Amino acid sequence: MAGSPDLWARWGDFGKFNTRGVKGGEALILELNRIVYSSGIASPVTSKRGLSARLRYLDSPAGRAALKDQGVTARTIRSWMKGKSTPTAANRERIDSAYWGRRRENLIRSGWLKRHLDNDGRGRRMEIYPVDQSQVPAERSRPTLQQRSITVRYIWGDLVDAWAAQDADTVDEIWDDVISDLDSDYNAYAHVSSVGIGA
Amino acid sequence: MMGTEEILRLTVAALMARAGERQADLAAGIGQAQTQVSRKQSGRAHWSLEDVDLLAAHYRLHPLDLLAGPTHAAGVLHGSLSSLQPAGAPSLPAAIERPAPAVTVVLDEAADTLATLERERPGSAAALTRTGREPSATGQPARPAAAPPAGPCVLCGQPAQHELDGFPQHLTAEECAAAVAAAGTPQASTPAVEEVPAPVAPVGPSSPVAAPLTEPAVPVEPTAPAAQVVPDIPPASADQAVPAPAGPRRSAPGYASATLVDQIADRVHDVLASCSGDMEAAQAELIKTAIPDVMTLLKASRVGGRYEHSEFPPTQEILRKKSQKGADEIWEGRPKWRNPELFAAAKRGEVIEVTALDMNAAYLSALKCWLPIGQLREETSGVHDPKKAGVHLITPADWDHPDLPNPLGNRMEPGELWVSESTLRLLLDCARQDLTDAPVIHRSLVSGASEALLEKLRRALAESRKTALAEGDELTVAYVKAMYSKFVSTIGESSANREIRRPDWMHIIRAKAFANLWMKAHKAHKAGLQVVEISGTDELHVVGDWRPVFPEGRDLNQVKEKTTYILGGKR
Repeated sequence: MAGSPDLWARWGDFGKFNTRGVKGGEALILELNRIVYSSGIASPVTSKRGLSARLRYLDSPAGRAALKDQGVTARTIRSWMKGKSTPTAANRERIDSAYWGRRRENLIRSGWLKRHLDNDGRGRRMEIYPVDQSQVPAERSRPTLQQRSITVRYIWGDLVDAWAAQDADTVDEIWDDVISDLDSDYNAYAHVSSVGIGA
Repeated sequence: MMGTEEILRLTVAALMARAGERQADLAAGIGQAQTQVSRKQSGRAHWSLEDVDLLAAHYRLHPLDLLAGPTHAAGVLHGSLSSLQPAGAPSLPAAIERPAPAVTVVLDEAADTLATLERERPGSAAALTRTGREPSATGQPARPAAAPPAGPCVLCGQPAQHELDGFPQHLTAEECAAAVAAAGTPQASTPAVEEVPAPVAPVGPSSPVAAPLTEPAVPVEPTAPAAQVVPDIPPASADQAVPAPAGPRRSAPGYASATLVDQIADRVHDVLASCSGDMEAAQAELIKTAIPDVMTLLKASRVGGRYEHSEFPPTQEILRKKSQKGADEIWEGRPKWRNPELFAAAKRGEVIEVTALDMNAAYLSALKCWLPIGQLREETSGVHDPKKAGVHLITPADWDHPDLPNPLGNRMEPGELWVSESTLRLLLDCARQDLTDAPVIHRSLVSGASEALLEKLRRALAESRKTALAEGDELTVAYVKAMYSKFVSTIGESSANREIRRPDWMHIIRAKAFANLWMKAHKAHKAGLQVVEISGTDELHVVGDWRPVFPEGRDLNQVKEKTTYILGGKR
């Protein structure tokens, strides 16, 4: 585990008294996924509009390569593009995953995600929801854990890089940086129930 | 023209400013609470005649002087004007004539102050020009025509030639006295008139008479336009000029935040200017930016708020949409009900005349509802806590009123369902009124709640809408409508609004709109009207004379008549 050496240990034996939560880094990854996958084409791939928008997006060498990786032959793609045939339900799924794969790559490559989160250096507001202690016996629970809200700056470039490289250890280290802004009780937020980024 | 009480408020504000008093000081002086003074000065309460006596005693003025406008009162306080105190017979007619010129001075002064403000703070000019442009545009060139005064003297309110530290003022008390004396007595043709372009010329038909009264060296023009402008100035612009905490418009001051209302007005103004007056283009542009604009307004409205609400709390499973077009598991209770008895009667051939009523801005009213502040947490106590809000899994009781719609909407399926806070509160209300039994609450996902989270925003929107309707400004009406309706529809899991994700709020606000409609139907029913149909958020069809029950109009508390039709006949 990355992060400061004793960050994870300071809580004690996490989950021993039924505290529920995930590591902050994991929550960050989930929230980045939400931001990326809630942008883009809104119409579902099952609709005509959503399908043609995706096919248009994938109409490039890289897009065709992504479709090919999904197991769609060039001939089939040509036939869709010309409108001779419409994709089957299974192929629509493939088109959808090729679309989201390409879009994710493009958001990373173009730097949009970093710029969006960095917000011209102003950063983004991050809401940190502490671990769920509803199942913890009262004498064992930490009553002072509250929801925290902080403006996070400067980390977004590194975070997006680590997220793009699927490097969970680096994301953990970045999380350590984020919560070190939470003054003395920061290690109570090593695990959280979720993180919300206002972006 | 302004009412006497408005003039009194201006006068009190002016006297307080001259005396360097704060509201607390004045309140102590007249033996009242500061809050009372605040309410009376902002128009939420009235100055009574006893208060006038107390005020007069406090400032050592005669009550008549107090009621004769700020300039006169300040002049008397300063000693430069003679009191209106009826010492002898000849002074009485003067006392009766005086109020009209005094008002002229007040408004003129207000226009001047606006002009000064515009000159001093060019950045904020846009905020004032909306109300202040017309008077200042005509009033401003009139002044320098006589002599170029720097502005009204901060000490006596009369035009002064000198400025000190950016404040126009007379340099000595004698100059002040001379200026005030010159302004207060139109008959006097002292040399001081040369530097005072006689703003107190009599209004209206007598203004040609004013010309011979002024010195021949002074052009006649300054008086005439100033006098003509007076009726055009809305009383609001005079309000803005005084330091009283009055709102910028005529309705109850203090109801809506002037900052937010101005922000909306400025935005409309800017967009209209950038579209060079093209209303349709401006409307399209405004509606396009409605979502970010309303989010900015929301943020501005929460500055100084007690609670910091969560914007991206984890979404509970039941609040998650199952697909793009699909719904989550919350039952909002959308009304869709027709009175079966009346429809059967109509089928039998009875002629029933129905009036279709339309509720105004239903979602705007619905912004006042109990909203959870933070993350929703599970509770299984089965007791409704009025200090909390969220969503609840309930089993509703049966509804056996054939002539009243079910508050749960047209739900056919029996058994338990998830409802939002607004619906649950409506059901509990019904139980309190013995219309039905209380629902059984199985599970609740709740957080500490407040009814005031969106109240400041709602008031600003409502105030803008009201003003716009009064002025016939359909552009602002459409803009406000786009803001509140898009706010409600995008605060859930919408990619159109990336600044907040509160599907629980969305459900609660919508359900509140439905609950409000149901309550109107109930009110109509209690008043003896027959409810024929309620549907959507804003349609209520009734039989009978509804006008004693609901006020008619376009305000939030009023309803408007859509059509009347014969039930079962052609619409």
